[in-house]
Amino acid sequence: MRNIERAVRVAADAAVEYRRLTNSEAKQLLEQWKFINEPVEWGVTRARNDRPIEVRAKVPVWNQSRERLYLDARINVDRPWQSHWVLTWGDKHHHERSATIRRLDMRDDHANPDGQVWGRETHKHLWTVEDNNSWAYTPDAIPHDPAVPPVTPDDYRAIFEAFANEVRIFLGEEYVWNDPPLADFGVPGGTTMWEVP
Amino acid sequence: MNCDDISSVLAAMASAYRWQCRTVPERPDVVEVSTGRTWFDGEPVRLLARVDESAAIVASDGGQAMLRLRDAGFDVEDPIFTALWEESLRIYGLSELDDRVFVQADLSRGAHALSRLADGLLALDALRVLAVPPQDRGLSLADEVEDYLRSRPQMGLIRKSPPVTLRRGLVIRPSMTVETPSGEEVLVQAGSTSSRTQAFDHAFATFGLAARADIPMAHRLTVLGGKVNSWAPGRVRALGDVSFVGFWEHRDLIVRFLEEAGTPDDPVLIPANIHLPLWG
Repeated sequence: MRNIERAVRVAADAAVEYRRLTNSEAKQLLEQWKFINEPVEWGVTRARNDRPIEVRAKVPVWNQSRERLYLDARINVDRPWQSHWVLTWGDKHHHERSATIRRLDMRDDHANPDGQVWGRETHKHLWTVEDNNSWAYTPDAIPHDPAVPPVTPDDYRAIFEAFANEVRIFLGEEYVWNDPPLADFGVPGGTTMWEVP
Repeated sequence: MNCDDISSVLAAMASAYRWQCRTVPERPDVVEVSTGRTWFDGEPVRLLARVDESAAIVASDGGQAMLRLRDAGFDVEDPIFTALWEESLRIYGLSELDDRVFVQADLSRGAHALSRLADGLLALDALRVLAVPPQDRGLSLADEVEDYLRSRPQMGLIRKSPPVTLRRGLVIRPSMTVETPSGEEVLVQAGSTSSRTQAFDHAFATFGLAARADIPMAHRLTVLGGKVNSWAPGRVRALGDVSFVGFWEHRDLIVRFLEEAGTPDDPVLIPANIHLPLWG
């Protein structure tokens, strides 16, 4: 019990020290042109029973503000049509409370505070200090088939590059696209994570 | 004030936050249930559900809660995390299998069970506020022992908190296993001074089970923090019945035990000038 009390105390102390993104910093980061200048490398997140859950790529984004900024791509192996593409600020290891500045959700659900609803429809989340990621809109420049599941499988490279372009990220000479290793995991819905115990 | 004053809010709640069920593409055996709840970042809390052969409804989060906590930086091998996770599951009456949190209930009680699952998932997600970077946590005794042993080139593979399957399928998780220079795998359990009773109980239970599974005595080592005389001699002797016992303060003896051939006569590894009473 003392260990848990200590963990709570440490977490409380750390929370006080975290740097948090402000609205003006987020705006500045979005408006400036940024660069990705390295290959997109995918990793696999596994459950404790070693089953794959998702494939993920986290690519650093160079920016003039010298902030820790990443383009984070997540594709659930059970639902490859419901991928997520995130412009993330901050790194907890450097005492920054991460902020999801923009998040593109492919064919996913969401409800805006004003009642606008997306049901398995593509939308993109905004971010502010006050509302976090509560508000979204429908982006118009993301190439995809809106059907669930899509008749034509997603072109992940096209989605990645369209999202990067929307958030003002240039792709430099060292940028290399690699396809996510979804073919390694068989059919969608084929993992135990999808099974209801 | 009456309810009509907030009728528009209630109507919006009923519309935007109602429970819904949808089929799942390519999976005729399960349905997806949206709960009207959202995680803190606006993503919806959804359940996967099926009805089993005994007409019970079984619903799961598909591993989302655990995945989100790992994303938040939680070390799932950390015993503090494990304790909090398990206690939260217990409080909400939820079960877990391979990272998937689930409930099972008769259809007549299904609404209550699913609602409890959705509420419990949000409570589990709140554990994220306790996730701090490793450098903020300070090193535990197990971390310290592991770091030190890793720094010794003579040592082979060191595995942190590995599951060790005993006979009859029973699984124990010592703090680490260490491959000695002679190629033997020694189970090491660290016992810190911050919670002596818990440390003693855990080490004694772990190695008691290992002994009953015929894991050789020379492959069982308890490492205790603090000074030798700060531990009750009776506890140290009891641990000595099920494992060798070293003290981090006298780590040279621990290293000698692990790195040199032969096993000491006395299972309690203390310097000759320290006397440990037989009882007390």
